Amino acid sequence: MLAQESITEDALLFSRYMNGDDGAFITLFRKHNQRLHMYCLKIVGTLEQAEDITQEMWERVIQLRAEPRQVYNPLGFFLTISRNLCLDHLRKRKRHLPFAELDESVHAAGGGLTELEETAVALLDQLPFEYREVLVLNLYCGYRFDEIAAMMGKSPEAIWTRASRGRAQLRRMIATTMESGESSAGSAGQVPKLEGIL
Amino acid sequence: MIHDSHDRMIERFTDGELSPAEHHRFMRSMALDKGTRRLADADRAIVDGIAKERAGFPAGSREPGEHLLARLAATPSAAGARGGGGGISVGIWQGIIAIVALLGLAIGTFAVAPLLNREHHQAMIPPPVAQPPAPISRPAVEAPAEPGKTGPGEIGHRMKAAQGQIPRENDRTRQNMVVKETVEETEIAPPKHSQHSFAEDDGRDHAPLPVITSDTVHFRMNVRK
Repeated sequence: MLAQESITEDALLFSRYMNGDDGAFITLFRKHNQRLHMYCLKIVGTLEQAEDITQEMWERVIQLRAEPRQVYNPLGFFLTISRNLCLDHLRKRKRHLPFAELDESVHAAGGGLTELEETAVALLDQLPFEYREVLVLNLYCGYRFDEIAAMMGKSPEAIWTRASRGRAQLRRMIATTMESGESSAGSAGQVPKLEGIL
Repeated sequence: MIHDSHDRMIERFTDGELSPAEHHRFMRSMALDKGTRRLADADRAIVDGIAKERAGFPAGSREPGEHLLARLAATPSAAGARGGGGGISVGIWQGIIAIVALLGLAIGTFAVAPLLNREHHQAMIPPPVAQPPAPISRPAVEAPAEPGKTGPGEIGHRMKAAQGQIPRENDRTRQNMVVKETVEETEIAPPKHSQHSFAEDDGRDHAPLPVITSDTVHFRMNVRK
């Protein structure tokens, strides 16, 4: 489904919900809750806080029914609420979670990661927010670039460029870590020997 | 730009989008350049690491919890009937109300404005005052012609008679009658007070206006009561 078609469908569901159709709300919830939950999880870093924020986002949507308003891009609207709640939460904490704390929370959920892969997902949190958000929405939440562009009100090209730059920056951060690890340990560690492929 | 194309090549390599020739060329460049190999390994670690982590994450709930459903049930819609889904949206209601308000305003304006204008006119403009008829103007009195001679106007009169405007046999009689009426009318002057203006109106009733009959011009004097 094209991003615009999805937005139109969501807008119709949201309008029905505003007019008192509880079923439309449940449809929207089923459609978007898991991805928004994943987004919050990657932004705030802990499962419990992510659940609280997602819950609060939906509660705000419910409160909105008492003061109806027209929403043309519901997913963008949900994302904006979620992002603001996450950033408020991070501001209250005054800092990002250190790697050690992340290992105890979010990253404990993922199993079977190599050391290099763990470094990669941990360094993702060190990226500037605008890069991190697009990568999270694309690689974790599974939204396409045109969908992300539609929900953020930007062009797909701008989103693609942002994602590509974020990925390149993350790649260099990992390569630098690898290089320093190689120089300190005197070995390539996890890096596979590509020469053998040739 | 060279840097961007190099980055793009690495991403395409990771995503498996390179053609066999491009793939072979890139593998050879990685063998020669340790930095390129590190970047390629890092990119692979990003994609694989995120995929594994994503798979291991607990998925968010697919159904709204009891708490959310309770909140939903406790929050009625201010826009329409509950459970309807086919009701008129808030925007449409607002539009209808706005149109009705505008129509009411327009009707009110067009209905009241003429009334106000009429009252304004009645207050500011004096009612029309009946003017006495202007004295009937007649052609200059022609002296009767002497018998056997052509009097003044006689030639014109005869020409009119020749054109059929005046019956020829009544030429002299008609002329004499016209002269008589004109003489009587010139003796009567319209009363001065009948040409009063509204500013001079003292609010009292005035005498009836002069009446001119067809036979004799008679004028009743206008006398104030």
